[in-house]
Amino acid sequence: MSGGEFEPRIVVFACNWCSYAGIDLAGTSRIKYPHNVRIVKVMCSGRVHPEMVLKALEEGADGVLITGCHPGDCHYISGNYKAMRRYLLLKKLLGELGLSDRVRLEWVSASEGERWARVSSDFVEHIRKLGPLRLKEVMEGE
Amino acid sequence: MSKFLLFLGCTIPTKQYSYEISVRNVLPKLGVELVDFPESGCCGFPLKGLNKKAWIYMSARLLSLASKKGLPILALCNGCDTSLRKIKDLLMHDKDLREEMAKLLSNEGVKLDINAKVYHTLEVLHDFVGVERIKSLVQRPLKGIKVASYPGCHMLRPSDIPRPEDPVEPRKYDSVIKALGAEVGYYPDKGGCCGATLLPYSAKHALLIVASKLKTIKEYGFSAVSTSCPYCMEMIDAKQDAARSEVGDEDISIPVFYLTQLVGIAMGLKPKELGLNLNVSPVEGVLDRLGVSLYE
Amino acid sequence: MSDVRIGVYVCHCGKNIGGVINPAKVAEHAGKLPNVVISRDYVYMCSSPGQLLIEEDIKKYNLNRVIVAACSPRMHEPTFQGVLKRAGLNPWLLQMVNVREHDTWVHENVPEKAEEKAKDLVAAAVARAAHLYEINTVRAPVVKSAVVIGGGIAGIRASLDLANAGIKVYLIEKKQSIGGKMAQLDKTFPTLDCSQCILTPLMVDVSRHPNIEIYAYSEVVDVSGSAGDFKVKVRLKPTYVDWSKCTGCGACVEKCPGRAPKEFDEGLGVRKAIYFEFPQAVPRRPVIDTEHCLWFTKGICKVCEKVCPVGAIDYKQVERYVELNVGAIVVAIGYELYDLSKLSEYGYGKFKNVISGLQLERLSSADGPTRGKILRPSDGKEPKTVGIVLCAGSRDENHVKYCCRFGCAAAIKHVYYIKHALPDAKVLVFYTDVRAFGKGYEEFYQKFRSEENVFFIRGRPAEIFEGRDGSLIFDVYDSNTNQLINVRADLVVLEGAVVPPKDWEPLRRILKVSCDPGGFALELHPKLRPFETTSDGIFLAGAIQGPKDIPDTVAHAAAAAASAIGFLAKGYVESVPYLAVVNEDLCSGCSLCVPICPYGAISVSEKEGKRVAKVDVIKCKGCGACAATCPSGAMQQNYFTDKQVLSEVVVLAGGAK
Repeated sequence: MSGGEFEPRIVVFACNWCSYAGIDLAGTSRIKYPHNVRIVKVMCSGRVHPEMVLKALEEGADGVLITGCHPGDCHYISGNYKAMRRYLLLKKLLGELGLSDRVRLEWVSASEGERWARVSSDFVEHIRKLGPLRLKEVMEGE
Repeated sequence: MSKFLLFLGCTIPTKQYSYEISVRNVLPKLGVELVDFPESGCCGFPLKGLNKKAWIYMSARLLSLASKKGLPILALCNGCDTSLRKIKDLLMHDKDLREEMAKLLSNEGVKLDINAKVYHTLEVLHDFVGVERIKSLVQRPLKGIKVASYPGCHMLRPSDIPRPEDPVEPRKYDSVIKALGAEVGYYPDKGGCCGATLLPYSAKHALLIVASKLKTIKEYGFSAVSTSCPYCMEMIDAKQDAARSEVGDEDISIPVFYLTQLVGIAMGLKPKELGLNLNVSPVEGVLDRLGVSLYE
Repeated sequence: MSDVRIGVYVCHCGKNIGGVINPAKVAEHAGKLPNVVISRDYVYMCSSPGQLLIEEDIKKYNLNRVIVAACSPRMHEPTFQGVLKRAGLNPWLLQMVNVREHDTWVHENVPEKAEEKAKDLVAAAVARAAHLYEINTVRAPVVKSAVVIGGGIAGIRASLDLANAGIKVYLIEKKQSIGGKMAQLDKTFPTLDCSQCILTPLMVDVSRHPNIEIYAYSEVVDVSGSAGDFKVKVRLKPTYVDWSKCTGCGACVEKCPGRAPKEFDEGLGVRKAIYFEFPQAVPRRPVIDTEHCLWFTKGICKVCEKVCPVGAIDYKQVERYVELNVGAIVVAIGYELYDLSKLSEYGYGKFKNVISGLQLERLSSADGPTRGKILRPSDGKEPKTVGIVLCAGSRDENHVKYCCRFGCAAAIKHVYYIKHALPDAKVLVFYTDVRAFGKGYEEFYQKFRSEENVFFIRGRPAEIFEGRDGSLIFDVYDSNTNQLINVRADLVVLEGAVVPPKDWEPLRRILKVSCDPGGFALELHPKLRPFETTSDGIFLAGAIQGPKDIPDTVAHAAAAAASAIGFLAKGYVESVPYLAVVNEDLCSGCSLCVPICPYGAISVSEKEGKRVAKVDVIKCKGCGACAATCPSGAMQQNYFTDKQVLSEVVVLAGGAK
């Protein structure tokens, strides 16, 4: 964080069938969104283990965005519902740590390149306002 | 029981008394409680083109006073209704303007508050009272009378703020008239202008608009017209004679009623209770057909 | 991990990547990362020299992991997996990095940040690649049959092609006859062939083909199984006529006293309560419409039962279900016209003389409600002035944003209909643009635009009003001449927008096919794979992939059929690589994963005195939900193990080192 405006570092989990394709569509449509997001592909949002989210925050991410298919649209029938239930539990846990604001679950379909741009811009701005997390620096400092 | 602040505006207390009379006598019978709003002033709409800030101030003031009373505003006039809702929308989305108005209003001890809801007469009749309720109270069905509804342009536009009716396909007005037992129907340019705003600049063209509108309505076989805007009423009711002279004395005369007057007639109210003696157009014909005497 | 030998290849993709970031710098950065033996950049990695470069490097440097930083893996993952295979490596030792769609195409305004991001993404891939391992898929046999959903021209063409290749085809049609929208047309552009004349022989071919079985008046209600072995459940709606006994003689239709608006004539004509959809229907079997049948509504009549010579009428018939086992599914359900009454300014549905293009087709058809005479619906008079409005609802922010792709040519054809039937009539065509793009369309346009009393006016009508005599009055701003034109027309034809059919939404949920912003089926790739979907074994034919005219629909359907034939002819499908795998040493048999699996692929059983989970490799589809649930980490997902994903996450969260 050397001077200038704070540039958040965001890890995104994107399901292969809807969200990853939607993010690709933003690319093919040349829709601009903040560069801060780093995308990790998973086959389904239901694959996202809470440990993956916690690890991201622990290792220096300022926010984590989980994206999946809209309810009813999951390629694997119900993976996004599983993701949502895990997400709600995880939010409770993160709340205990004061971090629940830094993780978000969003539905982005394969046709929603514009929605992805909006969702990611919103989240980056939201994290920018919250400020840096720097969990790793803090923990190593201790 | 719905309760509303009765906001009259300027045209009604100065020249369109029959609208107020009919509203005061009809709405309470439909279960609507009207509360007077003596501290109200102009909505500012006529100032729009001259001093925009003054316009915003006038409407913001009304909204704040109503919010303080905790009651929704019943705006009788299309212009007042549009003005209040437009300002509400403007202030809702412009923080700087909100702050400026709050400061100005504090000079007269008013706290800016734009939460008051605004409704037009048609919405109170259609959405609050409801068509079914009106139907159940009809004692004198307006059978055999074909009424051309004329909502007036500000009931339909601008469409970027909530309007009482669909701009291209107005439906509520006709459904209320139908509930009274009258016939309704299509005629071209139902949503067009009445010419009132043109009057100070080119009276000739304003009257030509009135004449062509009434001519079309007559051509389409209507026996009466109804509006619920005092400006429209002023044009198509009081200015029929003047308009006729612009089109070579062609017969364009047709009775014009406020919607609340029609509701009152159907509910069996006396013509005087509805201010029908103040209408300029020849309303007697329609009343005769219903077996009502204008001077009973 | 001393034996990990990674090669990193950064593609320029011409200027797509190389014009924003410096691929050489990204490669240079990657070269310093652990386990990276060689890193290079090249202008087109997917080209033949690019592929050869990687192939030779694998051998030369004894690489056992390959990273390609280029476009989306959805684009070229299979291409580069092929390179690994050719070089003798397992294809799952490839790791793609998406630096085009996810980086240079969206961050070209901040090139330094884009380059930083590319370095990050490559570094994460390097960390992840160390944990990749060989994945071997298993093969399952394919059932050599197909279901084609929809019996319009697309479904007909696809069915015939599949059947001619020796594949058993089940053609499912929701109406009682195949034929679709094309059967309703009078003529086709630009050649002006009679639509029925070119379509009906094909319909007959379908009905006679030994490899095709038609399920008319039926719909797909469920699909289970997977590519190569689908179980398709079909609902056969009750027709109240036993079609196995019926001979299609039509005696019942003739005597039926019930009347209803005729759907085939777009509501302009009248049909009986027991009816054939149209005279050339295939199968030629009638259906009772229970809403208008006197027996079903009032409990009287039963005339059809009395006159039927073979006793086929069955008022007690109930719906039936069949389950079809097929290897592939072709979706050919076509399109639907946008509800034109939503364009309230044009008055469709309010004014009798405002009609749709399809209604004009029916008026012009010899078997239509007017026996081919173009008369206005309000009074049956010949129109003297006809307005044709293009893009009615299309290319409109308030309605449908996209182009319907046949409205322009259809409008020119409609000019012909009117001028042919009523030579003295005046025709005004209101267009936004005339897109005469197909073979022969421009010539077709030039021919009719120069006809006498035909005017092409660039503008859209404002609000349409109806005159006392039913004529239509409106203003149009002509942007070519900068004039406001007042029009009085006797008939207005709206060339309406095109939308996916209403039954597409439930069907696509059954099939798990995504849709595009317009709601149409999303193809696997818009240019290279426009007739396949993200679901293996499910193919798209015709307008359900996007609006199409007849030539394009037929070409698309034939391509879909060819693609399905190729898929079926291969004879096997490979299991998904992303299977769940159990580490039996770690598994405690807790069974949490069992109910999580949406496919029932996991069971827990006793093995060597210990309870362990077991994954059925055919049932598993590779979602990874079980791996996310397993408390001990015993359950892992191939290519997405905890280690692989976490190593990527750590680098991406911590930034470029």
